[in-house]
Amino acid sequence: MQGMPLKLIVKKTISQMDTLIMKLFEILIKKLRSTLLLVETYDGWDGSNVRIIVKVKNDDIVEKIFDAIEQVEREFGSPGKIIPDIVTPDEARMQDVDIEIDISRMLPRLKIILKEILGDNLINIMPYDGWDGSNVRIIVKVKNDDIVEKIFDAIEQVEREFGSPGKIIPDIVTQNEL
Amino acid sequence: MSYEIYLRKFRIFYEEALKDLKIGAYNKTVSALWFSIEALLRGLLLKNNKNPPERSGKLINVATEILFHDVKDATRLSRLLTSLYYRRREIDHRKKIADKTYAEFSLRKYNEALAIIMKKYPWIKQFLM
Repeated sequence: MQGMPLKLIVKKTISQMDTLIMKLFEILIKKLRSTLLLVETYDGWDGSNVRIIVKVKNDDIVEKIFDAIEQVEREFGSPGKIIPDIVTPDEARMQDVDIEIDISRMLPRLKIILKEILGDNLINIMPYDGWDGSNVRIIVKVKNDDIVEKIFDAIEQVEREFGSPGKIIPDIVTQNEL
Repeated sequence: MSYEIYLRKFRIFYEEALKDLKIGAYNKTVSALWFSIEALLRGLLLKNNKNPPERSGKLINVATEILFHDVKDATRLSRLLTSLYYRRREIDHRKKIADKTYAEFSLRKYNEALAIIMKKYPWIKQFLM
């Protein structure tokens, strides 16, 4: 075997999750052998907390991984703790794409237009780092299809004025959806 | 990764959306229309040797900048993409329940977006056949 096939890095404090993952790795490496590429703690945008990278992903491999998770959670009496994201290297690369979109110049203009269109229905508009990549949160008192279309009209107008299409990804919510 | 897989998914989701609409599965129509567009954007980015982001918002950002910056109706397209994504999120993650009108409106937006995209990439039509 060439190079360093395995590296275990210990953080300052080992959490319960780390212990679960170490056990999970131990089981997975036996079950999957060289198909397993990586197991790591992970802060996924959808709430997943363990990323498992495998060379090949099929139903059989995925079931083996879920069997292993069940076994670990049973052993540690911790059901529902491990939320895996099982990916191939290609998919992992997609997850690791990190881009910064600067909309700070556009927001004041959007706020002015929305205030004109929505009046008191607009509660707030602010930069936002949404789990799905949305970057503006627009809070309204009342939300319906007509209001949403007006908001998209306003966004279209601002993007046109700034010559920057595809920059504003809104999350339109009412206060009780916060 | 092969872009063709994503373009196949683009067609499959589109066909499923139409079937769902026919049988009155309106929530699924709205979701499938977005997933069809999402697969198309991923396929086009891969064909352009670009790595598509996983998060939908970022995908719209990148696709608009890389694929459609020189399209005449880029701003209109941007609005259609964000709107289709927004509608899908309302259905899948919030309290909104789609009815026929909502689903058909999504389909009109989808068709308009696709028409703009096909002006620049007419060859994707072959994947719908």
